[in-house]
Amino acid sequence: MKSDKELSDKKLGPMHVWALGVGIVLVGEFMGWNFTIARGGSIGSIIAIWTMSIMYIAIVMMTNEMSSVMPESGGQYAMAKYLLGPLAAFNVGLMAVLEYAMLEAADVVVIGEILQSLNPDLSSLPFIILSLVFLTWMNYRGVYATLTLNFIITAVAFVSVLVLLFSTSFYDPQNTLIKLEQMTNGLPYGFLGVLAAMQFAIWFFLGIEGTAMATTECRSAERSMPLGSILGLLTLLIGATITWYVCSGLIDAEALGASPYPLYEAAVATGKLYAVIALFVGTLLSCLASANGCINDASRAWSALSRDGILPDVFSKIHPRYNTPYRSILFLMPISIAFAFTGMLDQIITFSIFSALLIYMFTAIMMLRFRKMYPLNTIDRGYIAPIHPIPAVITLILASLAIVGMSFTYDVNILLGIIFYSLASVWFIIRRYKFINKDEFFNKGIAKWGMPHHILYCTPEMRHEKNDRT
Amino acid sequence: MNIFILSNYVAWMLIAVFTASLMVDFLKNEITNKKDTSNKRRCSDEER
Repeated sequence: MKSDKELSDKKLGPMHVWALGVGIVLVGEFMGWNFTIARGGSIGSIIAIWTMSIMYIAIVMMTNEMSSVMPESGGQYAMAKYLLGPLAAFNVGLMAVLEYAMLEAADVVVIGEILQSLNPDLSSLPFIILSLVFLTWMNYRGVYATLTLNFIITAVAFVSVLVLLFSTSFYDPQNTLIKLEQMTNGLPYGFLGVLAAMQFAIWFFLGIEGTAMATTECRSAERSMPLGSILGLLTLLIGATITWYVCSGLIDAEALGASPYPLYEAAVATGKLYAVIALFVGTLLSCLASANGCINDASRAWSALSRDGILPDVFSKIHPRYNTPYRSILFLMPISIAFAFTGMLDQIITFSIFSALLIYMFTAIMMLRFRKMYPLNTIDRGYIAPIHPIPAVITLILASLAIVGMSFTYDVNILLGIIFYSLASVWFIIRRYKFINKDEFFNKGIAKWGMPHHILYCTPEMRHEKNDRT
Repeated sequence: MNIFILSNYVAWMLIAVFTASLMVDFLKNEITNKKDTSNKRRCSDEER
């Protein structure tokens, strides 16, 4: 049986990285983002969207630099392992698993609800379970086929947004259906509304950082990761702007702020059947692509936690034929089904977003530490994030602001999230910490990149003191 | 029976097929894994 060290099929290219990143996120264009309009108004919404996009540009740059040096399965978890130590790594890994497992549950619930909306005789339950079981089956049988499928369905879903855009004849001032001046409502709640809108603006980009999970399975991680994830982010930025423009120009701001499926309703507002069909298919496919990417990312994070002893090692086994972390994939399936059965879609999504925001803050802290430990020109980097430390500082500020905005409505959820991760940390310290070779965590990094700069260039007394501490 | 109710049954059947496929492969792997482990143990005992 293979060990997790061999989770490196080396088959993926930039196209797959793009599919993994955009696939997880694209569903946010079809639903959820429009609550930004209910909170901040039409202009508040686009300000919040572009502001949060700056945070994601920063996150992608930082993640690309660190993952080009630490090409290991587990993404941000692997980075935390080398840069922050076992306790932080456990928390980052757990946050990643819950972020993706919960998002996956929300995606399949939406698939069930959309199908049921076709006819009351159609039951949502079998389709919720079927989506999860089918995608788990795909993921179990290999990453290449899974992400190739993701590429196709993500591309079709994105094309459906373009079909909607062109169906409005936006390019022809005489016949255009877009009526931005009549439909939008400006900035009704001022900048406080923008702050409240930030947590929903994240929907357009949430999960793009998950591309780092595929690092070990890329043919050339140094090329594929930056190319795939930056192209993915560009796609999302363009998609977000088109989505806001089309929906705001076709649906009255008040109705848009409360719509469950804004893009679909915009298609209905055009009165063109082909646009309605395209958006129905696009919504379903975007949910499938998102759930598919989430299964991939959650299982990689869970398997990486298990490989390093942070969780029991039974989950780290790799399938001898398909080269996938098959035990992790199967273990997480009933957990996602359980989340889907709770029926608390907004609570699940809020917890997922909160976990993601905490990961972003950890990523910024890791980047600051990484550059301190290994300044430029001390080790080889496949990608160098420009204007350091500005991306890290921007991420810390904007992620904090998004949590503040979130607390306007979900203060209890945030408190429960903090309690949950604190209790999980206590469990880790009591039950798992003793199984971890802390020296190995640190020494593995030294073996790869040499002694960190801030330890190398200090006096022997200082080094002694640091060694005693580690 | 209309097509929508029929779709529900088809979905349940597909769930059964995919679950069975996953379980068969999983159990096959686990049995092979156990056999490999016990073979390795026997070999190392004999070497000793």
